[in-house]
Amino acid sequence: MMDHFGVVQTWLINSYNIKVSPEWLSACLEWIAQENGSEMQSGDTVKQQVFEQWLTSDLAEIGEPSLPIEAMSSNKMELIGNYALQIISIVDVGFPFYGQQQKMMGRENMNAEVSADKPFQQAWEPKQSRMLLLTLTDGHSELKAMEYQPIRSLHINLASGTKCVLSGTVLCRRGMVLLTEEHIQLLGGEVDTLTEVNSPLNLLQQAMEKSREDDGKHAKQEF
Amino acid sequence: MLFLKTIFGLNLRRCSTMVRVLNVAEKNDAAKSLANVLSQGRSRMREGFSRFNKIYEFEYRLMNQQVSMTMTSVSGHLLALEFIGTFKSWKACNPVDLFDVPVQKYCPDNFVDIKRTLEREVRGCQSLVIWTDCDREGENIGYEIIQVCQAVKPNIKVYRAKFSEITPQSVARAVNNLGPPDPRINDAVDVRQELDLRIGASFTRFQTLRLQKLFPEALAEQLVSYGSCQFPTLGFVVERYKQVQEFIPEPFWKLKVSHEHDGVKADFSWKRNRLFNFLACQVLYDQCVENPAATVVDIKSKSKNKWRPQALDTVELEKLASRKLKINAKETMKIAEKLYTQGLISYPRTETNIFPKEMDLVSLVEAQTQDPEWGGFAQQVLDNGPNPRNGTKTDQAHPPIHPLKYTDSLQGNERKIYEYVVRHFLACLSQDAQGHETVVEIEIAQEKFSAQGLMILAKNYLEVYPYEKWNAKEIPLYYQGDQFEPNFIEIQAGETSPPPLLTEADLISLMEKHGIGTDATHAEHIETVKSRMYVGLRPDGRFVPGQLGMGLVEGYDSMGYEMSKPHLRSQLEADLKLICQGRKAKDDVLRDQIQKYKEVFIEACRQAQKLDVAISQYLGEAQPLPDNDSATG
Ligand SMILES: [Mg+2]
Repeated sequence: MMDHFGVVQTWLINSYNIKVSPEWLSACLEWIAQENGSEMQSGDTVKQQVFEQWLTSDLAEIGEPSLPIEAMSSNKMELIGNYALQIISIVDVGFPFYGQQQKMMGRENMNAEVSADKPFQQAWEPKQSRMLLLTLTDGHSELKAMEYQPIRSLHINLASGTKCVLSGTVLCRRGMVLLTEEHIQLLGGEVDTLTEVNSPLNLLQQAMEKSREDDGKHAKQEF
Repeated sequence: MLFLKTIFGLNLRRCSTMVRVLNVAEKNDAAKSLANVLSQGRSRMREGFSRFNKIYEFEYRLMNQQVSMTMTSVSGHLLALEFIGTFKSWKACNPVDLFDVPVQKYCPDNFVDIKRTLEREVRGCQSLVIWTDCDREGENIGYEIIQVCQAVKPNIKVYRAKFSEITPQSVARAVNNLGPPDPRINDAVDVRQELDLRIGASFTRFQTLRLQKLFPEALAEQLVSYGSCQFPTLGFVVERYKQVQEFIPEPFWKLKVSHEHDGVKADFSWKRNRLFNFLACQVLYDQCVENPAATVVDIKSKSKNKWRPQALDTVELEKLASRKLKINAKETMKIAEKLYTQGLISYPRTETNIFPKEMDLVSLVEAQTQDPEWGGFAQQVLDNGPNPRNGTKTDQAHPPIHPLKYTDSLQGNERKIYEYVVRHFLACLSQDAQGHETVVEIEIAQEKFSAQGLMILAKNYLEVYPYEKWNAKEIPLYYQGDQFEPNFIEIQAGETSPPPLLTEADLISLMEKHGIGTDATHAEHIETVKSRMYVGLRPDGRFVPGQLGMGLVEGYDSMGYEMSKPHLRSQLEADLKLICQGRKAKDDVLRDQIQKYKEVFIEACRQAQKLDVAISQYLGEAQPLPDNDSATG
């Protein structure tokens, strides 16, 4: 069984640059061996079985740090390469949280919009549009990510703990990366201990409370 | 003749053999204009028993026969619905019985005179034509008229005129296409009226009797009425009030770019509109501040010009002098006459605002080129060639008011009037101001912003005419591909706000949207909920629920019967439509709906304490009810 260890470890790195703790990998291989019983499994099936375990594990417990420390603190830097990360939370910051909560709880009421003299919103006036805000982690440090341009694969019902790969050259400011479609690829999976506490409704509630902390903040730059 | 008539109450002319036709409209003014149109203004008017409903008579060729027409009117519904016999009185029975007790149509006292007029007039007539509004209520009113007339003249021939407006063509078309009235539409309205009576009376008696006992001080003389349109109307007010109370305001942030050029400013708003996360907004702010060069990526504009003034007549001179120069008309004309006698301006009393073709405008403009202020503009007018904007009036005697000799030695109001005449003259001869109503889109570090406003291409006459401003929101002149550095980029903080409380107009929009009442009855339902103290109107004209209104709605909601929600009523509306289409029988709908509302009523009585609990939150503790005397029996 030990020969699998080296092969699987390098496969994980070569595939999506997945780094896991050695203790976890060997425990995982042992568990798989018991599950498979006596039949000898080919290298590929074992790799697939380890990958599936990885998808549903919490990186906070099994992940090795991969994100550069300065990504969280520097005002501006570039993140280059592949990072296998876990999505902790995903919230739409393009629309009011209260309205989203009402809709989610089926309490949205169109009568609130009715008004005799509805100000005619001219065509040119910018309309609200979605912007998803994600919190990603390698298990050790957290990184914010903004849907800088629309990314079709993302949506607010993605389960907490879904795995993804951040790749290419990504601009990162104040610990937040500006994501476009080609920077992120979903690998699936989830972490059941997280899906409960980070349900879409709870995430909205947390986002609403957190945004209060920045109440009234503003900035201005003259030229 | 008059004397005879009053004794025998008999109009002798009626003995003539000519066929007589009685026509009845929904309101007096409809009857008056119908008679006027049909008789081409030759109808004769006489009094009926009701002074509000006159009688108009005229001859007319109907179905190729010369007939004598009598046109009169009712005032909306002639008959109303009531419970028969003793059930009219409150003490007579338990409210739940009101769902089954027989009902009958009766003529309310204030309409008895109208009924007597119809009964008298129909006696001499062979035919009856109904001219009520062509809507459901109108058809039902028509059948009330038929019922009253047939009681006096069972074999009278009945026709229904269909018209959408009272014009010669549409009235003529109606007369040529007289048909039978539609019994199905009549049935539908009868069903609605019967249900409104049964539901309204049962719930009103239930609520009033019970709540007056429980809350004597607050509700002693107060009728706690229920109506199937009244309650949803109250429901909308309560719903919006709660939406406002429960609303949670949230902070948001938006980027704003400002650019100023030649004293004209443009504020660009962010294409992303706003974000509910400060950090995300700050990151994009950093992007823009780091390289703020703005590029114009899109321009959408449509030309928009501002007319230069027409040639000057006396009225315009006086109007403008008082508005802009603060010199009243008398003073203005005194000065104008003096300037005229000094040969400085033309004769100031003129209605003409057209410059005659043969007039030598060039030399008049040349005289003004020497002035330090408007001389330059005058020169431009010469270069482009005087191009007067003329009006349409002429008094065939005098030309429009215009300057003759140049002077720069006048003082005070004389100078102001002379200057105005010159500037108006030069403006009229120049060109309209040209502009573009524009939407400009710019890009800074891949973030998009847009602004909307008026780009003034050429001020033209506005250069010499300070008396008018182009008060549209002006923005600088931009062209596709332009690059500029903004004056500043900003993160603006804001906060979401709740929807406003309902105004009367908002409430009517909601009633219309949910099919509650008709445009004739909206105001009446709103009046009722106000007079029952269910809702109050604040000084700013917005509705708030009253304590009783809140209690009732929350009481019924807590029973699971959202009596204040419109859907209970909309199922009835759907059934009424089926009756009109002949796809459901009147009695079936009546039976189903009565059964449904009766169940709701019985359930409401069973859970009556929930009503007490809800209302006591607002009206204070309820009086303890002696066990045996429960108001609901
Ligand atoms: Mg009508």
